[in-house]
Amino acid sequence: MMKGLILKDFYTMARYGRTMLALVVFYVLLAFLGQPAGFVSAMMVFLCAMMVISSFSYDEYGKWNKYCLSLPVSRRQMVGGKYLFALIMLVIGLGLGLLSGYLLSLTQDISFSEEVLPSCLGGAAAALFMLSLLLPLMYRFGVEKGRILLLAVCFLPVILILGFLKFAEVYHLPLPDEATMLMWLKFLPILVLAGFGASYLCSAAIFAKKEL
Amino acid sequence: MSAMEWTAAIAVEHLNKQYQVKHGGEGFALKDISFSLPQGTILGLIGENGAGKTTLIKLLLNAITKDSGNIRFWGKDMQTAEKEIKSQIGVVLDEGFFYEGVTPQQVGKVLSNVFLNWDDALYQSYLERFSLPTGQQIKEFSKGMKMKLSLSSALAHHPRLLILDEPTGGIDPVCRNEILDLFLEFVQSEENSILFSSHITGDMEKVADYLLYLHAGQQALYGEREDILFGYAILKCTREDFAHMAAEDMVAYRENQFGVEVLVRERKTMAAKYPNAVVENVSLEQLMVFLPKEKKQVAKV
Repeated sequence: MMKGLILKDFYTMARYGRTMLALVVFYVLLAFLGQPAGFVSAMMVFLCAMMVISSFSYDEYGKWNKYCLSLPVSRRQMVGGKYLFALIMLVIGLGLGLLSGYLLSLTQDISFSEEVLPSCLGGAAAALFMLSLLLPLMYRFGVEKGRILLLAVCFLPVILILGFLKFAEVYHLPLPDEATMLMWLKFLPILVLAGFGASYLCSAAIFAKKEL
Repeated sequence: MSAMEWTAAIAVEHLNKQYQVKHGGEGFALKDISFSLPQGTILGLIGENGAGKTTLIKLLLNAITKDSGNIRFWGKDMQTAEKEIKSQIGVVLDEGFFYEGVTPQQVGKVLSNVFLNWDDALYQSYLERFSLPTGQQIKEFSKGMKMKLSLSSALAHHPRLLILDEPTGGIDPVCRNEILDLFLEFVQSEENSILFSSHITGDMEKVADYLLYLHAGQQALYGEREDILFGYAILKCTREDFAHMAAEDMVAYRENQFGVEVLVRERKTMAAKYPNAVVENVSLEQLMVFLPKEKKQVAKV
């Protein structure tokens, strides 16, 4: 059942994917011209995450969800299929990022384990976090408004962090030292994945009541 | 055949749906719809644009929630047996299908993973019958070809019921006839049934056994097509004769340059009562034009 939904997303995004591959090549070229390899690898993860958002607009454009509801597929499965597609795209993005980063590390003076790997994983965590916030918003408000909200979603963490720093400065709160930060960083994957799970439940609840 | 097997494919009782408009006002409503679709028959859903045909189909498919009433498929409720019911229905919507960059081949691959009872050989045979190129993107298809693809993909899991929203709209007569032939073929098997909406009344006259006529969200007519059509007649008479007609005999009327056309019930009684008038069969199209204006004059031609 789910396999059909994911297959549909892949077929739908096939052309778009080719354009994306061209972009990947472009970024790798950029890297050879001196952009930091870590940035390039992280970018690939983000590009793949963007595919999920595009697949949403393709669905909306073709009114896929209306049709899909006439099939023996539950609303929960429809949402689940989209979340699985998002995870698969992230894994593909991570793979592409690590591969290109590895190739770059062979030719350039950068460390795979110290530069490429952390930025790829960081990029994946950030992308997953962004999708966790965005997907329920898109289920609730549709793609067009969702796109605008995307900006807000991207800036929200920055504003929160800056706000916290300002707050800490004004009230002379101690900032966490590097060791504490690193310790928290270890929990990051679990936190992000848990957030993704919560996001799925949220989207499923929104979609369950949606009139299509 | 046992009694169970003869349960209606669709039975709807007192179905209501009211759309809420933002800021409190009352939006479109579908009011007190009741009908049934016996197995082995075709029900034609007719009505003007915006009469509620698509809303009714959405309610049947549980895409929107009803306010009250009952909907049963083969005696089962969509709330409790949604998957079981949907795996036995083939649906073609007015809007909503695959993204047009995919090919019929890919549509088949996806659906074969969605329907447990998908029959790929059958799907391919439909594609062949309609001469649809399997590897071409849907966006390059004509409107008729797109409809044929939608139908092929709605039929390949051996459904017992087809629900089709405007399957013949905007399609040329040759292609439309191929589609109507397919409908008749499908209901050859006595357990198969079709509900389809259209405002092409000719299509309904060709294939529909039952008619449900929606007007402004209400059920204006429901019954066997023959009963409905023979239940009315058109009286053609001069203006002078018309002036002497009893008001209670007229359902609706229309003046034209030659005289007056009056929609009446009980053809034989009326023919005897008004011997000067010419009595004619009423067509579905005439009924659709006359009925909403009950007791009133229809716009002049």
